[in-house]
Amino acid sequence: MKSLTAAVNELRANERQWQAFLTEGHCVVLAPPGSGKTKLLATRIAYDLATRIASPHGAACVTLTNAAAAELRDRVGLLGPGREGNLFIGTVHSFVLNAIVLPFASLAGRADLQYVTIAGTSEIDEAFESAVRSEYREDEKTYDVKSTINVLRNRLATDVEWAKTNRRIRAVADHYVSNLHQRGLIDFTELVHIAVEFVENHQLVRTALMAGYPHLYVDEYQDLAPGLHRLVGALCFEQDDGSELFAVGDPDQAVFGFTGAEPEFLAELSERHDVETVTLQRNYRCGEEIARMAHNMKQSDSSVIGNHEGGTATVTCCPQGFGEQCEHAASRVLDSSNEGSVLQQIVVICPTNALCAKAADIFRQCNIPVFYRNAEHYRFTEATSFVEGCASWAVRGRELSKHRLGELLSRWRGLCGKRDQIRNDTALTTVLAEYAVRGDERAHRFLGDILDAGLSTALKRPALVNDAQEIARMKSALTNGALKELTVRELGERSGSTGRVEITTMQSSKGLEFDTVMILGMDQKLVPHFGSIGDAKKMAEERRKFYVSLTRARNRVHIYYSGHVDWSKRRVSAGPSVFLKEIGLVR
Amino acid sequence: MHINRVKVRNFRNIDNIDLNLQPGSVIVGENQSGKSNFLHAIRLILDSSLSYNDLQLSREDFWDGLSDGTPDWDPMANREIIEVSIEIVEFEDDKQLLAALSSALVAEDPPKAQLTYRFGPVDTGDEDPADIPEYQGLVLGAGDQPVSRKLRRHLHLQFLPALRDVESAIRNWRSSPLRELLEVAARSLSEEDLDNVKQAIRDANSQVNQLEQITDLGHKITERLIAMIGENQAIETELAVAPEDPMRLIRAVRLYIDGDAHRPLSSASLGTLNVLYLALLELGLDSRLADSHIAHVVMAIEEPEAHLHPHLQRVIFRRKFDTNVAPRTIFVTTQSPHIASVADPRSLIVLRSGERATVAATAVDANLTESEWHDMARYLDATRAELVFGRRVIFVEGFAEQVLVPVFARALGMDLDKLGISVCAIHGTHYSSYVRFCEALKIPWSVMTDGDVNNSGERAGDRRAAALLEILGASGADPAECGVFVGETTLEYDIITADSANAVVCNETLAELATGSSKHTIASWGNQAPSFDDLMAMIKAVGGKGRYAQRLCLCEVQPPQYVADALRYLVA
Repeated sequence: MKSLTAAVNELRANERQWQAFLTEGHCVVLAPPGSGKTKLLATRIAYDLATRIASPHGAACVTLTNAAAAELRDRVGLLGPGREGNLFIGTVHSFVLNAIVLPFASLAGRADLQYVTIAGTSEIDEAFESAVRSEYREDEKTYDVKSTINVLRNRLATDVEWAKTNRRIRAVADHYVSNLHQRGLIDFTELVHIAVEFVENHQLVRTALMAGYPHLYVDEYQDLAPGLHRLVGALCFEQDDGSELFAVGDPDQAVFGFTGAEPEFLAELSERHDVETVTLQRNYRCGEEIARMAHNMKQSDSSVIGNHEGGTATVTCCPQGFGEQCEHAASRVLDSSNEGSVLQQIVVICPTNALCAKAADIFRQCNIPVFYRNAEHYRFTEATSFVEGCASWAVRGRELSKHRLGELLSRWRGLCGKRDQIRNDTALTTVLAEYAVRGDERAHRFLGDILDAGLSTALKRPALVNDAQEIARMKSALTNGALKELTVRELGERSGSTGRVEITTMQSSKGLEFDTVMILGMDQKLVPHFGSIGDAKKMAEERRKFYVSLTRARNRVHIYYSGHVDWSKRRVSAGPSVFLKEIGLVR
Repeated sequence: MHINRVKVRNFRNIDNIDLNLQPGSVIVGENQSGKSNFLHAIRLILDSSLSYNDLQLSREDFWDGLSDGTPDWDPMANREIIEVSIEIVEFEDDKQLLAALSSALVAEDPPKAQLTYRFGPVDTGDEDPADIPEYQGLVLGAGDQPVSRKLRRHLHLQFLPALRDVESAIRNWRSSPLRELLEVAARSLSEEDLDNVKQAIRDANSQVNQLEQITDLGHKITERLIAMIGENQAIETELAVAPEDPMRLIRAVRLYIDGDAHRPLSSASLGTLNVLYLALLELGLDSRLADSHIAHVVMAIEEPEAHLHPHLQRVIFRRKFDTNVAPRTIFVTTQSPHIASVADPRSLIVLRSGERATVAATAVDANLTESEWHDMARYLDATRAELVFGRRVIFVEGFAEQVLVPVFARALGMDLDKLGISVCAIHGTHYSSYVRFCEALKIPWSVMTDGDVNNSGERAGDRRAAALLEILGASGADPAECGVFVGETTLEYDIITADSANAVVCNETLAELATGSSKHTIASWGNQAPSFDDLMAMIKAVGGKGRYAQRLCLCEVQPPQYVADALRYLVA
């Protein structure tokens, strides 16, 4: 365990990090890749909790993903004085549900929301499908209706903004929401709307939140739902005694525009006179050559200083197509593995989930262990990662696995909401002990046993709706879906990523870092996608995605292209991605 | 912050009470009426020194009235629930309180928080609930979500049980209220001061050890130890006045009394110790409030009157009830008229044993005007709040009635003390506010008042009764049915005319008091009652109504009809 003092002293060595650490009042930290933002954020939170925030006051930290929340929680936990009681760390959805809507529902006259059910993916799809059908004929093109509506709803669009789109789009959106309501459901987007309404229109909700969370931290500000920006506005800037904001982000890494996120909000914050903006400059991760190359993709004009020499980038053309790209990459992995590289230090980044799946297949055929977390199966949440962790502990060496029983039980208590704990603890421990010799059985049985041991009861808690949905998806994937062959051992292996090459999409590569990054599928019209070409805003986002992919690498970047893209019906030849020319790798 | 409402359901002898509270609550009631249970109910929510296990009640804690009478009846099989809740207002301007209560907010304008203790079946999510469900006791906020002890402890409840061993509480370092104060003081000491103390003690120790006799004694102890257990296992001993470590020295600091005599606490009276204990406790709470370790103090004090002189009771609690001295919430249960009489009458809560459960009432519901409340406060102060300690109350006009009514009761075969009837003289005929006060406190009452016929034959007493009935919302009813009893003329004349034996007794009493020519006048009346005017003039001549009434008490007299009616009404 690293002491808080040691962590603080580490920041002292970097002038900008130190400046950000010392700010008083609202602060925005613009943090390029590899600049140590998570370390800064964790240290600052732990320090504030130890010195500036006395119970019953607390702090809230909003992150982009559950995985980021879990990592931050671990880091603060290791540094912190054991004061997690008054610290909230979670995603926007978790924040609006657990910190705003559930606690203040009855106060704001919406007691019904205490028993609200959040729509799952399939319910959302059904509601949308029927809403679209109520406005459009079968033969009409509707592929962009859903994305347009998602963006507008996520942005809390005003009537004026809705009026700028097709009238029928608005009608579909209204139908969709009322379809859900008819079934007693709401979706997370509406939940964010409700939270914004609570905070903006109910003075007592606002003051109670400001008293409860006088410090508000936000990670990856550029990618968060616009509703959060409204909440930040109301909690931090509406009143002089508002919560103090510490926001971290990087407009150059904004890749969630398709959800309605707007990197401009971060710029808007940093330009406020009552906000101190600190720009981190040192990239501790990428070799200088990689940093220099990435700089061509970067949009903002802030400078980034590399921290170590070296870094190489290669580009390989595989004219046979994407399959050849995968094979070439696989043989390169085998070569470097023979030279002593560890597999978990290599990542393969593909433009789409379908290509990721294909790459995973080919790597496995080459006997390379891979790890590919397909969000279409189930997402990483506290509950799904807990189940994986349990599998790992049960069949992969117990206390010698990455997990400890004590840690798992403590997470278990968190999930169960501390109800009747001894019985739940015993039930879980019994299941885990039983599976010591059952590692080769199918994983869905293991999940079933954990559900019976109390998880299914725990998931009925309103606070865990998101977990309940992902566990339901996990269950169906393990029972008769794409993962039905998965064994308990393999489920456990998903919880740690040692000894395997990670395969991921460009978006999901965010926040990760590797020695070697292989970027596949860099063909024009795939990257950038043909739908983005000609649209300045979309092109900008495509560039940022590539920028993020490149900057995952410490030492080596290997890029592959074929010069053409194979769509389901035809081959489109448009040469290598224009981005490869922009960074000077192809002419 | 102010706790303005308490609800208790199904707890011990409390079936269902719902009380509006004033800042500060003085709870009076006979033994077994539920005072301690009421305090304990509040502790279940606010006392963070109660452990999780303390919050897990048992079968015996359910109100008996829930029973269907069968011997193996189990409230938990019936899924009964014990619930206590408090409503809190006026907290929103204090950020610390607002944060502590933020998960308990239930109303916005005006802001209101609610904390609920519930002992009920655990929702296991099972489709088929077990026959006898598992129970859990939890403190809940808004939306029935549990509120952590961490947050609740900022509303600090300090409980002072009735029979406390104050001396050992102060002497025992761990439980002593002095400990916290000394530790806070020690933390702020400078290094230099500590070093000086250390040096002084070192000097004292070495001076003592330089005394030959002491040095000898030290050697003797060491030699004897070696002789007993040998060199190797010998225990090292040293004689010293006090340890040199200043922190240990501060822990060893004790309170002494009686100035330079430095007498130990054990020589103090229990009453003195109690006062001392309260003072230390208050200081400790003040310092925790000042350091924001807690946001608000709720004092729950059980029968604090033990061993305290009545004047001390009044002085201490007059100060405690003064919200200007310290903005804290206070609950006091008491049997002491001295404590009840210095409280704001609005803060009085009366508990009594009803047929099946405790009946609770608060005075504040009487809705008196501001000046009537002031009158009531003065009256309770002067009469030592006798009225609120009565199980029933009979209101009379003045002193004569007050002393004579018990005599009349005896004549009727009633013992007022055993019946719990207080006779309260209001020194006038302004019964209205007293009656409303009793109505609010649900104290059965009756009023006796004189007929007071004037020269033109009008009866003022009847007019008074009608006015009272109107206030009670019973205009036109028979006053006697509402508890208002009106005499014929005036008490003294009604007595003498009530019974032929009374006339003899009254005349004899007057004759005893009379001197000179008055004696002859009385003798001239024989065994008959004189005229109204003659009687009243004679009473005045022999020393007044009070003196006459006192003497009359020594005799056997029959009550006038309206007095007997008023008493029988109360007993019925």
